[in-house]
Amino acid sequence: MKIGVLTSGGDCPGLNAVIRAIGLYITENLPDAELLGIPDGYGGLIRGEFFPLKREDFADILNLGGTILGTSRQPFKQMTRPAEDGTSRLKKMVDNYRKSRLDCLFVLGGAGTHKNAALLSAEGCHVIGLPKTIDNDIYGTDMTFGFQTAVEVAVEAIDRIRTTAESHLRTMLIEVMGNKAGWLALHAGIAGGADVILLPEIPFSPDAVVEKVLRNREQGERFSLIVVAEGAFLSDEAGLKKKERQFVRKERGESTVTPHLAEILEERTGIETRATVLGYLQRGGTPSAYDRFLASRFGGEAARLCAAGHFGVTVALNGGNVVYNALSDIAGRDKPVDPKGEAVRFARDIGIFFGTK
Amino acid sequence: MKYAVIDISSGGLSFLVAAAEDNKTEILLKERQPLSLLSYMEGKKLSERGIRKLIDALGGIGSTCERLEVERGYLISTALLRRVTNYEEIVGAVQEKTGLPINYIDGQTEAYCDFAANRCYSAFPRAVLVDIGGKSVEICDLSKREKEEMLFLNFGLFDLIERFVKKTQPTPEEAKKMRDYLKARYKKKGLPKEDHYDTLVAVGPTAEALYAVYAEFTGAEEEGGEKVIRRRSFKRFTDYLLEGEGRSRLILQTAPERLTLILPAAILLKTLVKRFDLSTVVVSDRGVKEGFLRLVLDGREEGAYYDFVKKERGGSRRPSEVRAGSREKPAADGQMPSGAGEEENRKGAEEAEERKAGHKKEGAEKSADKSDGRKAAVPADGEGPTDAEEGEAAVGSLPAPEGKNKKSAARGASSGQAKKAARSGSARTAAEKAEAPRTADDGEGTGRVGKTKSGARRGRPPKKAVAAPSDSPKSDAAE
Repeated sequence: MKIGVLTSGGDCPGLNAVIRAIGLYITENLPDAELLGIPDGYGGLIRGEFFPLKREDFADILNLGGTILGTSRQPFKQMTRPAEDGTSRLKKMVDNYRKSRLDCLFVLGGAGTHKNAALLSAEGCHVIGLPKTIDNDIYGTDMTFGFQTAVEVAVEAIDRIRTTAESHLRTMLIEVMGNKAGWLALHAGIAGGADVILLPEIPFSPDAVVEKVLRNREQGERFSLIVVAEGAFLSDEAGLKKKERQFVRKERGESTVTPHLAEILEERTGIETRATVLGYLQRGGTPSAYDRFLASRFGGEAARLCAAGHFGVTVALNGGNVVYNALSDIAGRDKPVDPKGEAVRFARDIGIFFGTK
Repeated sequence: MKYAVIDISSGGLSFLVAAAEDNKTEILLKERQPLSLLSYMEGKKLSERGIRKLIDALGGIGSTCERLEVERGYLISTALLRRVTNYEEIVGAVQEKTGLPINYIDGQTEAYCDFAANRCYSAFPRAVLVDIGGKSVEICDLSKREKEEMLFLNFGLFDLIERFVKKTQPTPEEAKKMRDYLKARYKKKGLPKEDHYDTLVAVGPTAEALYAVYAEFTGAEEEGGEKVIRRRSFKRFTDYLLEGEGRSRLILQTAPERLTLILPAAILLKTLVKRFDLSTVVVSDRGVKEGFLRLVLDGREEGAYYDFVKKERGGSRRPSEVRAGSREKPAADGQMPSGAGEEENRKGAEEAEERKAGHKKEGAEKSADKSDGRKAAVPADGEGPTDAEEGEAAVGSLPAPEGKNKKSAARGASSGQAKKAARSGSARTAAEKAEAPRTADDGEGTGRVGKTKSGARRGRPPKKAVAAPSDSPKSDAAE
């Protein structure tokens, strides 16, 4: 049996833990199988590059951040467009899959990667997906690996920023990742004790945030903490398409709403306001214990599905159990935060403000 | 009273909520939940994971029903669960967790429900109803009345896939074998050929999904409120599904839960269109659920249901065969049940006349297409396939019409009325629109592009990776 594995899209903590678990399962249970790494995500498959992975390559990477395989982004929209040589990327991948006589391909990636995985599966390749993202926005799974580590990184940052905010009586904005879904901002904000959490799912009113900050000060609070998901936007921008919103921000010399909000807050509250963008800190570094645990479970289950000949699926966490979903069921679907859901409702109940009245 | 009818099919769950009062039925909501149950099969059993997914999905629908104050919910299952070996286990689990009893609908009843839901199309001249299912294909001549003149073929898309398709999509060679097989089966069944029908009305969730993909490909829009497939563009579409590079993406964007069914469905429909020599196909958005509800409301079908108010089960599970001789005096073709309002009849008559006029125009255009100037022949009474052949049975009795004159205003009124009753409120809801496939995006995450630095880490790919072999001794066919 020949088994390929690739990591695609943005990196996140836990990727190597998954690769390790897959490798160990194969070593223990499918000793005659050959495990092949594909470098740089789908890019490597498009180029037809493979290299053998031996036990010594993956046995000790459990706590290693990043991915030993490298990664790249291959937009779904471009998969079926002909390249310069007239052949589409999809066709190249399918051809290389067949030429290399793979029996199974593990694909570790986020929503976009899973869409491409569904394409490969639709063209007859035996694919098994593993949900990777620090955003936790993949449909059909309670949790993705990488998410918990990102939350811990964000909360540690918020804890540090809290002390400087208190010292200077400032309003501090902390921007975390989450372009389409605000799970990271929600969890980090609650765990970090934020006063305000701004999510892409809940367009916010800057006036309302100004009022909240002023109210905080009136109530004797020395500082305000505002956690902002990078995809959050003003309620005035809600009617704009994503590209239009980006254009408006570009005109202001910004890529997210955070600097603009910071400016409004300082101007209208008279309170010194600072913004910190955590950026790639949330992606890198060693995975947390939970992510190592979850990633290992996912990898082991994925390998078990491969051994059982069950393809066209992606592993998932559901009610504490590791299960699987059909790729076609989850491709193209995401998992936004429900503004009326329990997590937001509970947060509101303890006084966290979400930017709307 | 508000009713819900939920249908379990291979591609997922579909359900409708309708309000029925004073002999008027209004569809309030129609939704579909993608769920590829076939992906959760283990041999001929639905796996524990599959049962769990089904229960979770039904739970979600149940919540929607409660929110909409539905009083009675019927859960029906047709093709998929017919041949699953752990059917009773599934019934028990679903009932225990959701309260919903599963009503098993056999092929005959399914065809009967399709007919009941689409009787209005009998206003179309020489129309034939085709339900392309996973395990059976129902073919109902809408001008016929007698039991032996209705058909169902005891194979469906799953059977075609199992027989001819090795991978996910049929290759051109596999498609040809599939076509040849279908032609042989039609011939054996004695299906009519050209000059017998003018309109094919395709029903069922797969037909609707097929239209959605077709419309996405061709840019087709509804014509006078009807979903119409044109033969020429359909051929182009089918060719693209066979070999177009973007075919998987097209299907995944539009009907991902029917990924493996779309092309076989297109092949099957194309062979029927060719056999009947038709230039257009109309896709109905009404099928088993609408028909089942109609028959239940008419008292012509029974079923077990869940009472959302009393939180208990009611009714009785359906017998496995269609009951005969137990119905009240049947309604005329397309007519609403007794007690239907005159106003509905009048409005329905107008709608039916409009449709007939539109169809006459189509028929004229079709005649203009024919170079030999053939006129459509009217089949003699009793003509049509019999149910004598192995494994293929006729549909159970259908209500005899009160008036046999196809051109009677009453029929026209009632067919329009039936359509109106089924249609009112059924214009695409926001939920249906929201269910439309998402557009592709450019990738995941923040779009921040950047390569990770390569380092001297153990296990990093070598600078010169090994390329895939360009020649493989193993052919694709052998894989």
